[in-house]
Amino acid sequence: MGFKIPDDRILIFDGAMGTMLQNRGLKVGGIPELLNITNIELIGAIHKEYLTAGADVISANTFGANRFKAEKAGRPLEELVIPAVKAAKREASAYRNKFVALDIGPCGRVLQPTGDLPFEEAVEVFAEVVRAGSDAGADLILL
Amino acid sequence: MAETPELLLKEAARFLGIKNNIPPQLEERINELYNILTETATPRSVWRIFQIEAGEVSVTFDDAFSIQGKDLAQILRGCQRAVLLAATLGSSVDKLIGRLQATAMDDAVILNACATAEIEALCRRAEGEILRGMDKDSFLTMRYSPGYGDVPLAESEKIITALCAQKQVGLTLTRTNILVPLKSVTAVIGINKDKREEYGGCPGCGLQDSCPFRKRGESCGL
Repeated sequence: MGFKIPDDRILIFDGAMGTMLQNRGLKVGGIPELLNITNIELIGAIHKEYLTAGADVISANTFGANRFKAEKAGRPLEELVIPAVKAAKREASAYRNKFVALDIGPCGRVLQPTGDLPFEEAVEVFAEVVRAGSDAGADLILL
Repeated sequence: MAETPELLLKEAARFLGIKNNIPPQLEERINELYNILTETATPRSVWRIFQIEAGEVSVTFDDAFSIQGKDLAQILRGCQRAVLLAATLGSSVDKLIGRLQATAMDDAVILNACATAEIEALCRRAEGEILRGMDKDSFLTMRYSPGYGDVPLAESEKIITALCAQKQVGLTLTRTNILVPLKSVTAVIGINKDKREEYGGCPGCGLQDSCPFRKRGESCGL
């Protein structure tokens, strides 16, 4: 479904994902996006809670999904992003007019010259998340 | 405890390798650059207390993650709790040093020394605040940072993640585990009830045999 902000409606976004996961046992220093592979039902249940509470837009569990995190987790990036977006879509589809955002957070590295990340690589780092997320059917991107 | 500007100035001189009798002209320049540094820096720090278990070669925090290091484990032996600390002077200081390196190399060297003195002072201020929040009979062990002794530089990432230090104070790592901003510190500090001698100073330091300060009959002051 295409996403367009309605003129006559205030859209409510969901709340934080990380604290919800920590309340449910994610350990400090754990990688939240790995749960997209190991426990997607938990992610779906959190989305459902936010939808039930009245959120119009739910954010997929992709805030920290990027090639650096994927490398650390030993998984391809797509395996972290695609199930996350699909799970959110599945939950949102139970309601009318609910949207799924591909959530993109900082990649953890700083651009040159302050840091060591070349501009072109940064573009690619974010582009590949966008490609995976939009292929999986995200309605919008939350930066 | 607030540290006097004179003390910080002397510390900056010490980092430049000058022990006593700072030439007046240089002292004035250090003073000027220290003032510029304080105007430029955006000092921020974040810390949290964890339950720990010190093993043989690593220390486990909140049963969730471990930081590797035999020396560190030795220092934290007997501690039930430890603080993880992340502190930074902010990226404007890096930019300023970079600019000076291109325009006035001598000033860049002096400002670098001032920034080192200032980040150390920021860590000491944080330690003071940590101590104020604890029982009177608690002591802090020496501050131990990744890259020091046998704690790998890569362990900084665990400290940054555990403290959400990227979000809280803007601290990140390069691919080779160098902190960005450069004038930053990540550290582990043990909390204990009895004060052991090796908690501060040279006796507990893994670098005591090769330390340039000690060769000159001084100490780094930690």
